[in-house]
Amino acid sequence: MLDVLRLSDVAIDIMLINCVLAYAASAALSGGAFNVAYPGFMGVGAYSAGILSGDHGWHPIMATLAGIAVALLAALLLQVLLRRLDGVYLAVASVGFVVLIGALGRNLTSITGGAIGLHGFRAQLSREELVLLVAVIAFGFFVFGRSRLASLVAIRREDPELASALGLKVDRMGTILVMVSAGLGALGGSVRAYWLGGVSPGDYVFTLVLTLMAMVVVGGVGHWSGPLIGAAIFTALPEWTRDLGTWRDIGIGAIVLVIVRFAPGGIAGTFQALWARRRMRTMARAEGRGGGVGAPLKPLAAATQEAS
Amino acid sequence: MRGAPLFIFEVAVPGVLAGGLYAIFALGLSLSVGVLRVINIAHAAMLTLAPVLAIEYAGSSYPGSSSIFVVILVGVLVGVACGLLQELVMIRPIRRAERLSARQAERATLIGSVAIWFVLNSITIVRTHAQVVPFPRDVFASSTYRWGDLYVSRAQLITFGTAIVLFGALAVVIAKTQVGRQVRALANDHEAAGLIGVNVDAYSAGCSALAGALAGLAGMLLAMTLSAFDYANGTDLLAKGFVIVVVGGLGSIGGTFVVALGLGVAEAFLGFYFGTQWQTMAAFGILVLVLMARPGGLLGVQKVRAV
Repeated sequence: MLDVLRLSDVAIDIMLINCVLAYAASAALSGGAFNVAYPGFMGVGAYSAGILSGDHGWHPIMATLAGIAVALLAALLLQVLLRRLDGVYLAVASVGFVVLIGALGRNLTSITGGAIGLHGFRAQLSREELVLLVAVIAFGFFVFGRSRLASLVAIRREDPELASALGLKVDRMGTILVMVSAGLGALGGSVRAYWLGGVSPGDYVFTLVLTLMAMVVVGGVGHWSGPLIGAAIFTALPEWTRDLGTWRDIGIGAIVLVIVRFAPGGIAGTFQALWARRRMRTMARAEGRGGGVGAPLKPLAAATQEAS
Repeated sequence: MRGAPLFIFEVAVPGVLAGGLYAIFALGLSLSVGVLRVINIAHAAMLTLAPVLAIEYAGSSYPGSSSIFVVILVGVLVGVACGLLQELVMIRPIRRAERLSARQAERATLIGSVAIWFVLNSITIVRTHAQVVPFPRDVFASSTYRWGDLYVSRAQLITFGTAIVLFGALAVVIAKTQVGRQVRALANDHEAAGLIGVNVDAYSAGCSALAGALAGLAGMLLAMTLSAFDYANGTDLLAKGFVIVVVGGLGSIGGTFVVALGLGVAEAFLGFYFGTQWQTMAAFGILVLVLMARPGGLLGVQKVRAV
């Protein structure tokens, strides 16, 4: 059915799992703050799966829920610690959480299996279940994207000073976004660990911060379809360009550079801006033929969309 | 039975010397973050690529390939080339893009540097096949000095000496000269610096090249100290480098130096008492504690932006 995509079954599964991980990163980044602790939350989810299912025989769903609960608690604690930080300070401090989870995984050998990790608890979701999971999350982000709250989050992202001047509850908004990121991260980490049937401390490290961030930005920060597009591109491109050998990474890096330079809103943001411009032009034409009362308001809305 | 003061000495000295390398690496990172406003992930990839290409040069029959000075120079030049490349393909276009808000520019440079990290790292992997490359012994063989139970290698001493000279020179240039004044203006506000007649493009290119050179130099010194180079070295250092830059305070040269040495010593003692595997985590523990008390870094300016 999906032969046209020239992707193996494994690659499609990985793509779907990456979508979940990318949504976790997207939730954290959409608030504008560089809280990049998300691989740590994914690690929490993955280790909960390994420890509770592998060693104690819990049902995967119970273990995943427990992992999400632990991740939410950790996120709350982290938010209390890092509340006052912003920009590069927050980025570096939140990487600390990723390092912490990696170090715990590596060093608490009796619980986490040390450097080897935990293995042999495979419980793969079927393709349909994975698609359903991603669809539910994407739908959630789609609905959220249409809400008033989403435009407030966008203001917070693009201009934090304006956000506090408007009296937005910036701190609380940040906390909620980090909690969503933690929950989705733990869910994605858990699904990934069950799919692989294993977890090791090398899985959820600093590099994952960068890869997921690149996915989200290329797809489009703050747009509901951004993580889908980003995860699809970043999983499919290496598959399609396999013949190029290791040099393909150079090409992927170059593509990311071009997108960052010419399309700061990512792919989703660029299409949205093009769409808005086209609608504006049609409306201007309609206005020329008589126009409507509401017409002046619409370009404003389109312009705000373009700005974000 | 060893005397307590002597034992402290044996742990602290290697710590201080390791801090010298952190300092050189973090100085370049501090230039990127403090002056150019780029959270420069690619700095780590420059550190890795420089020794890989320089060691390749040392193994070739090009002129000077048997001289350690020429080989180090090659490493530094690789860093300079990377820095200039980064300025031309990423930093300058993003600075000139007027549609971008400050936030978008910050994000764009961060992701741009991730992209460059990707590119440089894959060149490294292509050249080394992800294997550890040994530093040729006939070009540089580090000898070890010994006082009691304290072992110190020549490469470590060279590294530390270089760090002191570099920091001293840069501190004087930044504080006393006209060039330094213009760099400070640039660090303060890119737009305003342009308005008062600073050639922003030239200074930005210069800072980027210098940051690259420092990354290349740090990579060369690290390769000499370890007598081999593993391409995974960069990422580990990157995390520590950011801790140093942030705790030291953005743009504070003295702060960077002190915190780098402090981190080296702290790691040495933590490694001694609790085992080396907890070192990196301890560094981040210290970081979070410092930031909670002083969100602008230990020695940095506490900046508050008016609304």
